[in-house]
Amino acid sequence: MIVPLSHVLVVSAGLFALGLFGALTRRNAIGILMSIELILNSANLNLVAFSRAWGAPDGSPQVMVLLVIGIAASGAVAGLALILAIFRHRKTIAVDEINLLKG
Amino acid sequence: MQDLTPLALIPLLPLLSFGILILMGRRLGRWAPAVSLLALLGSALLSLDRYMALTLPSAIDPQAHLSMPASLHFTWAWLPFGEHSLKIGFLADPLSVTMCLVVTVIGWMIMLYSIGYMHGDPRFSRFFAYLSLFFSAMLTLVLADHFVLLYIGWEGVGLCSYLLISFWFEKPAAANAGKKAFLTTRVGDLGLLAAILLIAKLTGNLSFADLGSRAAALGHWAPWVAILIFWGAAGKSAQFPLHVWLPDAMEGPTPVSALIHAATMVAAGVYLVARTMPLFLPNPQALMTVAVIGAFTSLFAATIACTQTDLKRILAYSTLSQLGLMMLGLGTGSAFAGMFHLVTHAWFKALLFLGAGSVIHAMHHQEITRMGGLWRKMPVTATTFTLAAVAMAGIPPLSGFWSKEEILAAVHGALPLPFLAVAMAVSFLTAFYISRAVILTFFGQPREESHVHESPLVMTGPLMLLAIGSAGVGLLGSKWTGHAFQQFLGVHAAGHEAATWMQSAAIAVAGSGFLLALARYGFGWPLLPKGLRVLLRPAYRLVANKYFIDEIYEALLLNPIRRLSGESFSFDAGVIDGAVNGAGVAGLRLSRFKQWVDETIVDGLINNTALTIGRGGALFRRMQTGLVQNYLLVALGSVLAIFLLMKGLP
Repeated sequence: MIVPLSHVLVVSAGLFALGLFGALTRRNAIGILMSIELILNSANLNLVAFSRAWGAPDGSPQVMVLLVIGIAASGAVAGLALILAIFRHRKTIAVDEINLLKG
Repeated sequence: MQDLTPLALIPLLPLLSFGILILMGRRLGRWAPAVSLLALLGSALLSLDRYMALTLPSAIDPQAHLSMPASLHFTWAWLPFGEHSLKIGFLADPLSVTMCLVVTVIGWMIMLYSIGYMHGDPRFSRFFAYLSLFFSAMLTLVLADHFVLLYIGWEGVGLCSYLLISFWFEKPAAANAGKKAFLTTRVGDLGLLAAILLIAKLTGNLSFADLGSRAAALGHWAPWVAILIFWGAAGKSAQFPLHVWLPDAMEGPTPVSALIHAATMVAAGVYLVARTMPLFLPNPQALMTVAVIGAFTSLFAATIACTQTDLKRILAYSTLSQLGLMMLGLGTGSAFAGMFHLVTHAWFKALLFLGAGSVIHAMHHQEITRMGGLWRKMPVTATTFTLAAVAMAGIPPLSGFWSKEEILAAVHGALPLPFLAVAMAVSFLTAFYISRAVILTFFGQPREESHVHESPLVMTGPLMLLAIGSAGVGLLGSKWTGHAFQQFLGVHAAGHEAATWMQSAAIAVAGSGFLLALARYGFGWPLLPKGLRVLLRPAYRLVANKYFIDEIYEALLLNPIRRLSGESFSFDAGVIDGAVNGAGVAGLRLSRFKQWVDETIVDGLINNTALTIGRGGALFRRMQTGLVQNYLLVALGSVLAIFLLMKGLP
């Protein structure tokens, strides 16, 4: 194996940090969605890296990654649809202005 | 024996006519009387048929009781209860068939007359429906073979009387008169009901047949039963002290006054006493009661009749007086004397009333002081009215003479002399007041300008027919026809032959009454010197105001009842309502207390719980900013915390 496991984990942690930062700081709802995708992908990278490093003969981690990608896609669809509906209603997708759930 | 169903048809035909008229009278319109006239004609013919059957020699059973020489029977089981059963039974004996004929024949003529009299009335067909119902009830009463059925008819005629007196119920006087008649006769009906219950309890058999043989079972109750029956009869026949309703009943249409309040219904009391005569005969006290009440009513009403100026009221008091005379006749123990006078009286009094109706129809008022000289304009009415007046005054050979003779003879034979004196005095007063009415109404000069004309033939026709009857019907009981009526009723005529001196005296008394009236009202001679007249003025006022009986009843009966009602009302308002209201107020107070407990303690607990939870909620809701990034931050914080915690654990 050419690339050591630790390198991949550093990249993954970087991705996660970027995603987390974006999700917590962006005002644009679409931006938040994209950041969440980053987080999910960092998790996927981890899964693949560990599977490769420690060897899973049946390849089940890859299957799980494919599942996560699929679910992330459908999650993004649902999220985008919600954002579209909110936009039609409120003429904005800035999350600090969307506080309908305020108690 | 032959089929006797026709007997039941006699009262049923008018009932059928009532049903037709009450349901579709409006559609029949002016043809409504045809239905009732046809039905009553059927009843009259059937009654005649029964009469024929009774006069057949084969129908007469020599073994039967004296007062019931022959009878035809119809029975139909009606209400079976237990071992007894109430049957609808009709009895056609001479007594009931006589009444049937009187009711149907005179009733038919009065009905015919009503077509003219009621012409144009808005409730034209309703009138004939009521008349039909009346005939049905009256014929049931007459033909009933036991007390209960008689009582049904008795109440039925009372109801019809009420309906017909207040027929013009838009007039308050008519509505009140109907109420008064109904309530007063009801007082009498109570007596009859009590008598029926006593008879049922003591003898267990209410049939009229063989009443005499069961009289002994009444024991010491017998006089009371008889007096209670007479009490009922007094209510219906308007005897003192229950007479007050009859003069007021004149508010009804005149044909009704003629039919119900002169010829037929008021005679029902006389018929009842005649029918139950076997119960009176063994009780001299009861007979004496009948005679005393009859004589008193007769004299009492005759004096009032002399002072009245309303034509119909004169006739009403005259009816009272004549009914009293019938009762006096019955009080001698002879059913025949009373019944004979009932029959003749029905004819001439119906005629008098119809004649008065004809006059009222033309004049539109009833005050004889405003009439006079009518005979030129209304010759038929005047002639027939005068004839009926003469018949009532008792001038031979008209009908009233013969029946009055019978009563006088019976009174002379069975009662002390004062009764004969009363009867003679009544005879005198009768001649006086009826002559006064005739003279003031039909003779002399008209006292008021009016455009009257004779009534139509449909009214004068019955007048002429009744005049023939009034003149002739008395002959049936006279010696010239061999006392046919007495024999039909099964009475031995021999004992009651009036003495010649008494006949002469009666004629003389009646004649002097007529002459006195002629002198006073025909020629206008003052009968008494002026001083005496002034002296007698209070007495006149007493009589003219009907002895203030109505006022006495008002003061002695009605006012105490009203006062009692007032007191009861105050008691109700003060005590009963007070208790109820007090309970209500107490309940209200208790409820207020409960409300306080509820609001402060129970609700307080609940509210405080809610408040505490609410405050807690308010505290936590701060967390719910609604901003998605806050939530993410919290999630991150939590994950870090969990991570650190897990790290920190061994």
